[in-house]
Amino acid sequence: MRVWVSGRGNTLLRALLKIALLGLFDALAVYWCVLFLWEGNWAFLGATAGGTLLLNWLVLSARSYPLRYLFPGLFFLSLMVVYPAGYTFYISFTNYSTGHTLSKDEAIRLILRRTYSPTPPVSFRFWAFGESGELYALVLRGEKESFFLSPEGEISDLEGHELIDRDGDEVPDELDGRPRLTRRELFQHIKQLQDIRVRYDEGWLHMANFTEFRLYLPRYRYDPEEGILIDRKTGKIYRPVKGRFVADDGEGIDPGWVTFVGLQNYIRFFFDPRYHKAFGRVFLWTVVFAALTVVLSFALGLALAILLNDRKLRLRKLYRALLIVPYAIPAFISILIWRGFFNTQVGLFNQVLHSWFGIKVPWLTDPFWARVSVILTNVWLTYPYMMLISLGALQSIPGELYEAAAIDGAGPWQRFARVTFPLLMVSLAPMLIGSFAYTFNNFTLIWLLTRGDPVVAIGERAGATDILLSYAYKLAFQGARGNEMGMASALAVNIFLIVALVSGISFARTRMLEEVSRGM
Amino acid sequence: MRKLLFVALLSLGISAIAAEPGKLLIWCDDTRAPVFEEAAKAYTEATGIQVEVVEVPFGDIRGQFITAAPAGEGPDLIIGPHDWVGELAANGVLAEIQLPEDLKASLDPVSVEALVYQGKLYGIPYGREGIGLVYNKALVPEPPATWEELLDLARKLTDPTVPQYGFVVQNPDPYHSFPFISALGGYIFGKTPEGALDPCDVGLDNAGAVAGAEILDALFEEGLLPAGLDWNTWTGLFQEGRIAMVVTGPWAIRIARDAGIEVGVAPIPSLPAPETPWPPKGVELPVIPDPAHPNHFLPRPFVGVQGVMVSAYSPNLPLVEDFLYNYVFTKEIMLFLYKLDPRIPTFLPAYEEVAADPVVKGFAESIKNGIPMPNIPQMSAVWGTWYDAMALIGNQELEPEDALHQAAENIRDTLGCK
Repeated sequence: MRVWVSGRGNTLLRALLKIALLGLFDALAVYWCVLFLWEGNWAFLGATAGGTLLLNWLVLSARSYPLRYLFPGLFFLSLMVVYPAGYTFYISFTNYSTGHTLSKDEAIRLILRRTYSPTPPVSFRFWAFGESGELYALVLRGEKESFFLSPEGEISDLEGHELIDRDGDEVPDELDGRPRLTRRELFQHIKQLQDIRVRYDEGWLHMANFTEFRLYLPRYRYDPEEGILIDRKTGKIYRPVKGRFVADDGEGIDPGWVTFVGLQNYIRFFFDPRYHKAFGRVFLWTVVFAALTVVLSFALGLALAILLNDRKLRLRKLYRALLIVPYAIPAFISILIWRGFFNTQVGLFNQVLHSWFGIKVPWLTDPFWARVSVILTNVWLTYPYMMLISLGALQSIPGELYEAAAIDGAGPWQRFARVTFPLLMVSLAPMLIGSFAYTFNNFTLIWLLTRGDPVVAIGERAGATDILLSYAYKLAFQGARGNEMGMASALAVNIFLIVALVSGISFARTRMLEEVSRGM
Repeated sequence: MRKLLFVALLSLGISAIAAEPGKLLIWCDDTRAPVFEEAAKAYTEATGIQVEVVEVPFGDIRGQFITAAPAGEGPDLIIGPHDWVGELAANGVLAEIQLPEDLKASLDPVSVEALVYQGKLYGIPYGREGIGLVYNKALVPEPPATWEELLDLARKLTDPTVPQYGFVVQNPDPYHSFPFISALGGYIFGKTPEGALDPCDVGLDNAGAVAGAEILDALFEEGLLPAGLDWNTWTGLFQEGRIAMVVTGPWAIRIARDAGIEVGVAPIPSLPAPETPWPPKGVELPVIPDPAHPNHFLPRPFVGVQGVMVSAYSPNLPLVEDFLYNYVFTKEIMLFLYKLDPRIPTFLPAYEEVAADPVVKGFAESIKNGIPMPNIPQMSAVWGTWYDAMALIGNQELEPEDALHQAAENIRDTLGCK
């Protein structure tokens, strides 16, 4: 590469290369655009076309030079953050769920393709005739009528054709001088035979098995003006209700389609008793869980950091290494180990408690103790992080401040409360807010440790230790009516708003702390 | 979006092959692919028709089939469990199957019933499974025949401080509690006069279900059965020889054998009715009396079935029938299938061959009177709620009657039956 950059001829080469790469990219983009156009996928078409034009401008225009460095970041931001967030927002206003995943047109198209065989079935015995590997024609014999059927699917009267039954067993042996094909020979023509569809009555006849042609009728008729679906078999009328065709007696036809439901998903969380009780409880627990985790693990981490920061302590490095261990083990593994410790029958904790005090604690099966278990585990997993950031922040507090405080006659507690803590908070508060937001959505911990259990009330979906995110997951993938993506997305949007609000307020307060430090 | 995904899949060649006339295409997972390849080879030799077996990950088959089949991009046949049938048939992607009489006669009737949806058959079963009483032969030389015998044994062998247990049931898992719910007449969904499952007839809180749950509840109350006993805990104890009897399925046999535990399998003992006569006068309950013990009734575990299903959009229906009836449902192929996927064969000539194995025979006896796990999509409203009820019963927070009643009411409410 470096060799290219020097020299004048190489500038030309570079320009050519640039143009060639851009051309290649554009060609691909055009190909994708055609595909999207073909599908009628306007959103993707617009995004691809717009993005490509933008890229061309960026590469070709001299004025856009600085933007080139921003573009990759912006591109991935919109692809991985803006697009999923926007999509979730969109889904939260729809009924997207099991049975409602298609567009209305697609759903109607699928339903219209259904056929049925009238009862009793209308069927024709058939024989095929031909010679030297050629299919000549078929003869269909029904209860009342018989037909001559060409391999192209044209049906006509048998008159004018010579059908011979030599042995009088009611099975014709020859048609217009061509012998009847054996079952084995039928396989050679199976493709042709199965392709034959004969218009008959209001439907089609086609091959049902190796001896019969059967009548199949289209099951439904769609009336686009009235927007109704008519079952031709029973005459029942189905009307579109909430993204699905439903008859007056409540019978519905699957699949349904995705339709806008406005704020329904949001309203249900706050007013439908099946959801709002669980939502309120889960919300409260999520806040308590996140707050307690941050406060307790920060307290423990800070205490340990101050201890380790004391130069008089011997073997400091060893302690520090040991205390970081929980942070070094992947949470996936340690959470499962903790789950084992909490086991009521065979867990380590209960074995110890039983042999010392003769008691057994229902760690994961009782709502209160399950919450205690979750917080204990999470404090264990989080304190090394708190300790590390506190250690770093402690180093940055100038020693003179302590000397000055000592001269002023401040005791150890006063020095901590008046000097150490306020100064630590200046640099650590944003970290704590981040930690709160992370814990607020710590799905891994909940899912691996308790799965949200134990159960609190029948049919509420959310258990005692479910946080908002695991509740959303349960709604999305383990709901009572299959997957309720719409509901789950609404919950996800709620979570986003809550986290954004909490973070916003906290950062505003942090700025105040910074001013305090500036004042010093 | 979905279509786009499909385009992406196509370009990767994952499911590029669609059913085409004159050639059969089968989607199945990697365990079963070799068997169908074997049957395919025989079919191609005999008829000259090509049969292609495509391996699709088990978890993807159902979803991809629903979208691909109507678009003409799906296979002719899929292999899967019977609880797919409801959703697939409701979406109109499965073809109804008219079993020839002789094949029907040589299939296990409960397994065939499992594949019926709204009175129509949508698949042919090849393997079945369910739970029974698995016991450690070192602790229990002879399996108990009645509940009373089992209780005696359990009391003698249980000491939670060791911990050692005489008899356990994984809980609050609804699947394993169903034999207790069903023995005295409980059920999930009743049937309409036409024989279809009726989602509004929920029998989870009828007298039989409550009486059965009381029996289970008594185990918790007496301290014989720990609440919240999960799979990992009990299998661990079982491997250490600290569990004498457990209600479980064939999947646990290997775990026991790996640990050197010698196990036997028997039907779950019959449960005593809380009053005589049972069912009480004027109440109708679907119970099967134990012929050997008066006033005792047989537990009826869920039966799960694996089967072959046919696409309603297959352009090859005549070939499919010919292939299935004459080349797949044969003793050789069924035995080969059993070897790779050791579920109890539903094809009776093959079952008789493998019934020499006491474990196979034990489970087959246990599920002989079983009830097919409901295959209607409404079942998804049942599992979670039922689980909640069993958890609250186990933790002694609710009496079985209240818990099951609340659960059943919740299910009726969710399914719009009130």
